[in-house]
Amino acid sequence: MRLIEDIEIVEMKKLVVNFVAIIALLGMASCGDETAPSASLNFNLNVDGEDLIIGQTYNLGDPATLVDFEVAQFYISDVRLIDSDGVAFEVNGDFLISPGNTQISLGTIDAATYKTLEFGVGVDAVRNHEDPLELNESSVLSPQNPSMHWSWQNGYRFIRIDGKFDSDENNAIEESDEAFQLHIGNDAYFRTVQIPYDVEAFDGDQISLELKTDFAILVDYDVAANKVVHTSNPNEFFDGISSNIPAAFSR
Amino acid sequence: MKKLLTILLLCLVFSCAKKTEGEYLSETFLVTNYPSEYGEPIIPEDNLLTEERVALGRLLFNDPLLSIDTSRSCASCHKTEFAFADDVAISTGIENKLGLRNSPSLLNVAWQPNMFKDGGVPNLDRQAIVPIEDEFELGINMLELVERLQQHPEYPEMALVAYGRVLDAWVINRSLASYQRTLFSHDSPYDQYLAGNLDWSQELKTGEALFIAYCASCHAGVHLTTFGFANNGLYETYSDVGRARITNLPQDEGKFKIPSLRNLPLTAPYMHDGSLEDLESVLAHYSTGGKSHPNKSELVANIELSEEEQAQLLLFLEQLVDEKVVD
Ligand code: HEC
Ligand code: HEC
Repeated sequence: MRLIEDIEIVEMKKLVVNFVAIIALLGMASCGDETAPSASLNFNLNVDGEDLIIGQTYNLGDPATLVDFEVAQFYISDVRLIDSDGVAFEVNGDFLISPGNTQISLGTIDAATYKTLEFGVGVDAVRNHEDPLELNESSVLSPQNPSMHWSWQNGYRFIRIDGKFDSDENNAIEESDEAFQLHIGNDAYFRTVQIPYDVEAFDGDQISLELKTDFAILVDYDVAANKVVHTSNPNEFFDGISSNIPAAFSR
Repeated sequence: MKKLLTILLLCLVFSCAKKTEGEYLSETFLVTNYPSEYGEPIIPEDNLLTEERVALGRLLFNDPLLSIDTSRSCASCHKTEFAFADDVAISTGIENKLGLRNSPSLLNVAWQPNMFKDGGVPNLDRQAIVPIEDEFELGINMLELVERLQQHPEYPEMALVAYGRVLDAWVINRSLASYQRTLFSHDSPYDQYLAGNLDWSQELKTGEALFIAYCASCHAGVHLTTFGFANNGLYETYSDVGRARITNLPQDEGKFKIPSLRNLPLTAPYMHDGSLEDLESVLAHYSTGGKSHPNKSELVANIELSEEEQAQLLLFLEQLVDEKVVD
């Protein structure tokens, strides 16, 4: 067991070094601008206005179909707040939003009068193809459970929705009902969303930017006829689904 | 298999004195002696071959713990006796689920510049996560697998020794790659003939000449492939679009990676979907230049083989087996 101890010592040392670095950084930050505003982005995941809760049933699709959700998550990337002069405050990186994790902390932002909120849904074309195995497990792009990496096409699922639909049409979801999946990936379906968002950020403010994500807009097709939708090669059906992505996000 | 490894991993030349994180990390690199005409195998700096890495990879390759219900391993579809391919058109994964494509041979995979018949994954070092997580193959989430293997009596310590890091997704993928880089085949009767160690009949020489005339522009050199992608006129409409699945380009529809033909008699059935059951069917397919498709290669369109020529080619193709790899 000596081997294990060695590793732990190394890990401990790393921890101590990191800790010292963080304290130093914190110190610097607080000396600089003590009162800069800070912001977070909060997602309300819903189905046509009703909160999305894993395991609960909803009607969605065209024609309306009873479904439940087992997985409902997506990547948000490169958040930008654009002010009245067109200047953007950017937080680069990737964030995984799911019913259990609906908040993105943007940290301190510049004091300004913001007009527009912009972000990517998915992972940008460069990071989408990097090796997930090289990433530290704290990265949302490292292997996840449930899996977000779509390894055969060497990229990520941008949006992953798994659940069951009422395949036996008895108006209830049971174990015996069939699964449905909507997995949106592929660079062709990376979408940037722009939402008009008037917000004044003054020093000292803690701003919470509220956004709604409506899964009924994402799944607005015939679920029973399209049980498994994986947007691999672009086609008209997939084009239609991904063109709905921006509309699924609103204030 | 032991034999194969000994052929390949000839000598341990230097033992690196540098010690990193702990003293456990083995940095005794295996020096591989591939015949020079094969060119350099693709081995990244951070995953040089060591005996420990190969040993861990070999155990993982054969371990059904790598599937969600412990019913399958990599070796279920890549069988030694079939040159690390399978003898069915489509192999079954967990719960007897059928995948999409025919299982290819893994021999000489160390030279493949990209993975899969559509080239969708850029290298061997990050290939294993695909069958591991694929719901039609091994069907287990990567993090779940890491957790499972961390409970194993030997793997965690083997990972520390092999890579100097705790067993994780990286170690699993990298060690599997290391093992597969030792799967090497270079000693068929054709190789012996080329080296001047074997006399060939006139009929075999005619077969070779036909091969060079009609086939070797794609199935080229010692690897018997250019490693490029081509449409060989298998279908008029492809249900599996091949390379276009990755590039989304219409001009790539029906293009597949040109496979090596090494050990061909062991790897039936043939083509991306295993739709041609024997070499006679393959030659019949090529004999009239294949089916018409806008992306079909001119090189295939121009092939014309009489029955006699097909028989001569067949005889030639049968000389491509390296018996050493299957015992
Ligand atoms: C259920 C059968 C099955 C299992 C299990 C399986 N494979 Fe495969 N393997 C395949 C098929 C089919 C392909 C071809 C897929 C394609 O080209 O899209 C393939 C392709 C490959 C390739 C690419 C070879 C090339 O020439 O491009 C490698 C490497 C490989 N497999 C290694 C592994 C490893 C390592 C494992 C275990 C972690 C494994 N396979 C498990 C069926 C399987
Ligand atoms: C234009 C390039 C090209 C030419 C010329 C060509 N092939 Fe191929 N060959 C391919 C491609 C691409 C595939 C893979 C097709 C697929 O996976 O569906 C292939 C597959 C094969 C296979 C199946 C291998 C396997 O493991 O499944 C055999 C056997 C074969 N070719 C033999 C020949 C012979 C014999 C000739 C000459 C008469 C020939 N090829 C000429 C491109 C070519």
